[in-house]
Amino acid sequence: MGAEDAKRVGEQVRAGAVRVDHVSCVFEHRKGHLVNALDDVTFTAEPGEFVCVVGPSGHGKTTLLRVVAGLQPPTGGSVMTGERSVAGPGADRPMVFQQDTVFPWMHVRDNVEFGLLSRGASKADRKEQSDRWLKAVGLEEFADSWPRELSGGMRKRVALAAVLALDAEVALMDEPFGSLDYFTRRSLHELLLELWAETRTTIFFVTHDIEEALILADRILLLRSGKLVDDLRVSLPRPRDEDVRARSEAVELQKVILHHLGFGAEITDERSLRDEGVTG
Amino acid sequence: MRSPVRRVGESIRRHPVSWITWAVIIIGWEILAHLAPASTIENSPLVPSWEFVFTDALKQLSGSWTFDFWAPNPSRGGEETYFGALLAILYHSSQSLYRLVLGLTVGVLAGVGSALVISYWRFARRLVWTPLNFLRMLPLLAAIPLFQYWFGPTTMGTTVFIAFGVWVLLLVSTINAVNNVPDRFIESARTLGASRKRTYFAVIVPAALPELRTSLLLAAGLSWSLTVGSEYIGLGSGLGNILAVAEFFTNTGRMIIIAALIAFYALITFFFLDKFFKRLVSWVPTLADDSNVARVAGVAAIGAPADQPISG
Amino acid sequence: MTERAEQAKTTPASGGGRRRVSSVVAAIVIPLLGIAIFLGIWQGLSSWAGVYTMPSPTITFRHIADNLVHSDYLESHGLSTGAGYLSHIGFTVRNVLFGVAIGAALGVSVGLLSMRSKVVAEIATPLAATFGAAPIFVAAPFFLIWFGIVSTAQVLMVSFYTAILMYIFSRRAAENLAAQFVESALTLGGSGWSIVRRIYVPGTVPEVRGAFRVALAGAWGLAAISELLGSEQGAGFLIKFFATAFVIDGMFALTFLLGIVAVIFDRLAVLGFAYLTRWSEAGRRLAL
Repeated sequence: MGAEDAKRVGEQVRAGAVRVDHVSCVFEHRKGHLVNALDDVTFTAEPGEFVCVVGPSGHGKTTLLRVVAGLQPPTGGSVMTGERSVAGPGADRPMVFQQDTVFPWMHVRDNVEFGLLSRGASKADRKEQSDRWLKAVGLEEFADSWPRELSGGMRKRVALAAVLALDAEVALMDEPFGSLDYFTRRSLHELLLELWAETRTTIFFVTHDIEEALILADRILLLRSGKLVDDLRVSLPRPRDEDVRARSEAVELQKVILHHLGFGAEITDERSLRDEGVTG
Repeated sequence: MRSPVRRVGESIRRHPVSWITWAVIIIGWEILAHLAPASTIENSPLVPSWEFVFTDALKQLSGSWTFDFWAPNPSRGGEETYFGALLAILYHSSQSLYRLVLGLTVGVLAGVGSALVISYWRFARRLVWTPLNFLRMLPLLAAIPLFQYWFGPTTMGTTVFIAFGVWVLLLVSTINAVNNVPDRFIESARTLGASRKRTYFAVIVPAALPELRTSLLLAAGLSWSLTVGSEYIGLGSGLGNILAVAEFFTNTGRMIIIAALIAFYALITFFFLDKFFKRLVSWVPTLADDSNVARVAGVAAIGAPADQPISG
Repeated sequence: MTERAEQAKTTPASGGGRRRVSSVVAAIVIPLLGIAIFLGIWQGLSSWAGVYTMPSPTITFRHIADNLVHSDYLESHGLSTGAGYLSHIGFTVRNVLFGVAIGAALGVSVGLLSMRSKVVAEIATPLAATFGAAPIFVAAPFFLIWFGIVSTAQVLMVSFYTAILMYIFSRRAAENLAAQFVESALTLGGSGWSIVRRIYVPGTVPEVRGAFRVALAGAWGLAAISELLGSEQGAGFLIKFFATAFVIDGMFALTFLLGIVAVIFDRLAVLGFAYLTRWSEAGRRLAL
């Protein structure tokens, strides 16, 4: 690796980081009283990390994601990706939504190419990328189909392809598999992890499902009532199959998470968990 | 493909009550025709019997054929013929249809077009909302004399009138449809890097189109009312004109024929418009549950403005 | 909805006061601005086309003010003993309200009944579909011939039209009502009638209210045109009178007034429905 390459890699490493700095988000409820959707949240995601934001519904996970996406301006604090601070949505932080956002009036291929077209990529480039990503998510036969001809799980794959095709440093996902059945979700987990290993994108994945977080995350952020109550590193080996998730370290981790979110028994020996390297 | 006869037979078996209802109405009408007090004017029974409708009344329609070729001209003393009646019907139908199709097309294009332009700027949408809602509430049928004062009782005037009514209707509906595009499509487009302009044309506009189906059908119904209404009041040709002439002579037989014709044309218009629209938005995941076009469209066939699609 | 997403910014609270001011601005200033622009365009059109083709806003408003309650013009033409436009409008209003009330009651009750009785459904639905498809206006001459008196014909026509509309939409609303609400009620021991009363009625409110407003709006035109054809009273009659006398001011003023009347009663209808369902929080939530 020459000096040029090293420099480029170094830049990339810096570029994939996301720094959330004392972000608060206060909403006025219809009846007039104020709601702290986010309360002084601070953390830095390293480039290439798979970060899961976990918490009960209504506690700020989606708000946090939307702030990072630029869809929601915070009332306090700031978000930086790479060197730039976030001022609005953009293709450097594309998002997979919880609801079905595949555009029904475009063929599957056009959906995947949508972001590329907005960027001004040439027809040949777009086709190359859409071919590549449709193959990666296993939908190359459906390139010319209408979205309504696909199942919900397949449409989610289209949404994933559309986001990944942008080759951005950061990808955001808001409970993307929430509306799908367990089995579809599992195969999508495998797919996502495969693609992530290839691209090493920094991923922000919001979920209320602890098991899902354990399968996917390098790092789990716990959000409760808008506050960041814990930041856990998950050192379990990949792939996180049933055996790995059945290990005592994994079970203890789950207990810690539940406890911090207000469920389960007191954890008296958290420090020993950290010593064992289960959490960090 | 099941033969029509078998299909009818099946329909009778499955919905006996509906068919009986129609039979009762038709027979009851005939009975009423014989029981109704005899009218003092010749050829003007209060309730025309079916025989009268299909013979004398039908022939009398030829009186509306005021040309001297192809069939005798009753207005100049020629005899009344079935052929003359057919010609009269064809001629006046084509007049009405011409005005209707032209007015409807212009109105739809102008309405959707101007709405899409206005809707691009959020501020503009909010600004025009109040005055447009007032304009939408103006009872157009009451404005027929006004329009005829402006344009004279002419084909051009009627067409402009229809186009105006349809324009207002579709302007309001399209702005509404744009307002109702789900946030998630817009946000998705923006997070994928689309500019405001691209988001508008590639995402918002196509997403808004399916909601226009009801308004389109309502516009068709509206057009029929406005066409027939205008012709009835001032014009010298068209289905509304024949209706007016028939009413002038208190000839209920002719009136029934024309009324049935108009209903038939209206249904056909709805049917074709709906089919055309479905082709246009063939990508829609689930078309509105109302596949019974007559039900959707016919209901507001009179200058009733399209509300936020019938919920509130 | 679209507005928010497009800006990709929602204004979170930065203090309740500022938010309240901006929503007041939005609710009052913008509509007023819209109306001002509308009047401006109207004035412009009037100047361009000439006052004898399109009366300007000031002319129209002055004409209305001069003639609304007491009209010398009408008196001098023997059309009234001093009463103004208002009394004629009142004639139209009475007939419309009467017709719409009858039609709504009929349409909704038959609609809900048809959900319980297949026979009723099989009779009413094809009738509604067929008669609904044709422009109801076509029935006007028939009613006029059969019933002579304009009021009766008007009320009948408006009722007929309203009934068809309300029938179709109350049925559709009932059909669309999430089956799970009804099933839930059944498993909780609800009987036929209590389900109608506590589930169907509140649940169908939005569609019914919408259909009612559409019917009401259309009724004005129907009433006006039948007055135009054969009456000696009413807004439509006045319009025809002015048309034959080429009094553009009067025609314009009356058409404008009818629009105002339509808007007023539409608002009243919305308020009326809100009042009628005020007791039903559950109904309102269901209705959402």
